Amino acid sequence: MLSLLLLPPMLKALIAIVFGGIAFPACGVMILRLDLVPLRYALMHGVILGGAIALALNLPSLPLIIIVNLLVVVLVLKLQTNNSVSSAAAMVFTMGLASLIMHLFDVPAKDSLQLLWGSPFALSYIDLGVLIALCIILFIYIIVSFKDIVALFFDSDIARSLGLNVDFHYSFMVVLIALTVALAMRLIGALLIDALLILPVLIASKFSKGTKELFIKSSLSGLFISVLGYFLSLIYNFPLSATIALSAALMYLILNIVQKILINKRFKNEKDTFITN
Amino acid sequence: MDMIKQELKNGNTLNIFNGEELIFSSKSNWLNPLFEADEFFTNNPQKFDNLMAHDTAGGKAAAALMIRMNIKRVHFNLVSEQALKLLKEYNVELIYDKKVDKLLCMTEDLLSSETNIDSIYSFLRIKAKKVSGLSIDMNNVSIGYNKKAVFKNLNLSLKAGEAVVINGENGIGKTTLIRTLLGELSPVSGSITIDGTNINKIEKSTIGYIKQEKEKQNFPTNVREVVAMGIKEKLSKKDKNYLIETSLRKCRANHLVDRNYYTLSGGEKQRVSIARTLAQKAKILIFDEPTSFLDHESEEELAQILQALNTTQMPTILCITHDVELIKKLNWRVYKMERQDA
Repeated sequence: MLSLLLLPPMLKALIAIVFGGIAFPACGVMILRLDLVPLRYALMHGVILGGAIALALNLPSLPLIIIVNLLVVVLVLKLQTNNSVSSAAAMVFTMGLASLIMHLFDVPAKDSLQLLWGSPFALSYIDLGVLIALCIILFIYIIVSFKDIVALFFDSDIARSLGLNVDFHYSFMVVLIALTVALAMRLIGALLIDALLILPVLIASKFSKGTKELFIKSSLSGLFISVLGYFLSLIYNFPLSATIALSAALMYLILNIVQKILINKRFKNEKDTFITN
Repeated sequence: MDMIKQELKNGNTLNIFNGEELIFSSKSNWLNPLFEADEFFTNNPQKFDNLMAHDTAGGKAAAALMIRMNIKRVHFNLVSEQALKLLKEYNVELIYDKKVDKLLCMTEDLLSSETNIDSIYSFLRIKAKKVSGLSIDMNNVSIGYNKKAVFKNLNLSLKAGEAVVINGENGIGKTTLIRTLLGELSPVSGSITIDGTNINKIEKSTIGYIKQEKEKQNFPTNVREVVAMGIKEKLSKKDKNYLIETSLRKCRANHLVDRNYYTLSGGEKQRVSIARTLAQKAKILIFDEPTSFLDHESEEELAQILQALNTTQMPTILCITHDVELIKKLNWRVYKMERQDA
C-alpha cells in the first residue's frame, strides 16, 4: 500500500484530502452559524454552471467555477432583501443555465456526471496549490479575527454596536465559502460536499461548548473522516468521495445512537435514584 | 487577639481584617479608602465571613459603606452620633475612641435625613465621581430614515449615571432611536451629545447594547466568548480572563463562565449580556425590550440586576420597554414617546 501512496496522483489526493478535511468543516461552521445553507445550495449549483461552461468550451474548470461562484455571491449580496429568496433565485438561474449550456454544446453526460461526484485523484498541481492557499487564508482569517467572527455569529446588531465592520466580515466569509464550495466540488463532487462541509460540524457540535471548540473539533472530525475514507477506499477499492461521504454519515449516525443510549441511561439512573430516595 | 483595637500604623487610614488576617489597607483620605475596599470586594472571588474594620473617622457615609460591605465590627477613632445610630440599626458592633454629634463635613449634613443604604451609596458614588456613566443630551432631535423623520422634537437629557425608561407604543420610533444612539443612523435634525461630544465622534464601545433574545441556536458559544467580544483593549490572556471573570462576578454570573450561552435561562443570558457591556467598559447601556422573552422569575431577577447596576456601577441606562411591570419595579424616570400628528 505504501508504494501505492507514493504514486503522484495518490499522494496528491492524500494531501488534498488532509487539507480539505481540515479546512472545509471550518467553512461549514461559518455556513451553519451565519445561516447560509440556502447560499450553499446556490453555490453548489454555481459549481455545476461553471463546470458546464468549462466542459462546453473545453477550458480548465476550477477558474471558471470560482468565477461563477463569485458572481453568485455578488448577486446574492446585491439582492440581499432575503438571503433564502435570493439564494433560491440564484440556484434556479444557475441550474437552468447549466442545463441549457450542456444541451447547446452537446456536453457528454459522463463528463457532466463528473461534476457531481468529483475526484481528488484528478486534481492538478494548480488545484492543489489553490486548495492549500485557501486553507492558509481561511485559518489566518479565523485566528486573527476570531473575536469578530464570534461577535458576528452571536448577533450582527451587537457586533455592529461593538464597532465591527459587519459588512466586510460577512462578505469576506461568503467569498471564502464560495471558494471552498468550488474546491470541495473538485475534491468530492457537488453532491457529496456536505460530507466535509456540514457533517463534521454537526458531529463536533455534540461535544463542543464554545465557538473555538466547535472550529477545532469540526476540523479534527473532518480530518478523521477524510483520512479514514481515503484509506478505506484504498483498501477496498471503493470510489473515494462516496467512501468519505459514507464514513461521515455513518460516524454521525453512530454518534447519534450512542448519544441517545447515554441520555436514556442517564434518565433511567436519575429515575432510579429518585424512586430510591 | 482583637486586631481592630490595635493602632493604625504606617500612615494607614483604614485596615480591614477577616478574622485576624489583614486583607485590605489604604492610606487615602475621605471616603476613598472605603470605595477602594468596595472595589476590592467586588473584584475578589473569595468570600469573607468575619469582616472587621479600623477607620480613623466615621460619619454616616462611612457607616453606610461599611454596612454595605457586610462589615460586622468597626473601630472608629472618631465617630459621629449619626454613624453610631446607623451602625446600631444594622447590628454592627462598634468600638470608638471619641464621639461627636456630627462630623464637620458637608456630606454628613446632606445625608442627615437619608436612611436607605443603597440611596446613600449612590449619592456618595456621585459625590466621589465614581459614576461610570456619561451624560446624554438630545436637543430637538428628529429621528428617521433617509432624511424622513419618524419622530420629531425629541428633548431628553440624562445626567451621568442616571437611569431612564423610554416607553411608547409599537412603531413609534423606539428602534429608530436605538439605531440613532448606536450611530447606525444620523439624526434627521437636532443634536445628540454624549458628555458634550457629538454622538458621531464618540467611540463605539462607549455604548453597550443589550437586545431582546429570541433566536434558538443549535451551535455553541460559551459565556467566556460572549463576554470577551466586548473587550476592545489588547490584553494579555491573564488580564483578559481577569476582566471577563470580574465582569461576570459583578453580575453574579461567574459560575456560568464555561457554559454554552444558548443553554442558559433568559435571566442568566441577560446577566451575561450585562457582563459583556461591563467588560466593554461601556459608559451608556441601552436595553432593548429586555423582558420580551423572559419568564416571570427571570423578569424579577433582571429588575434586581438593573437596580443593582444603577446603584453600584452607575452607567447611564436607557431601558426601552413597554413592559408596565418592569417600569413599576424599576421606578425610574419615564420618558414617553407619544404619537405625533403628521
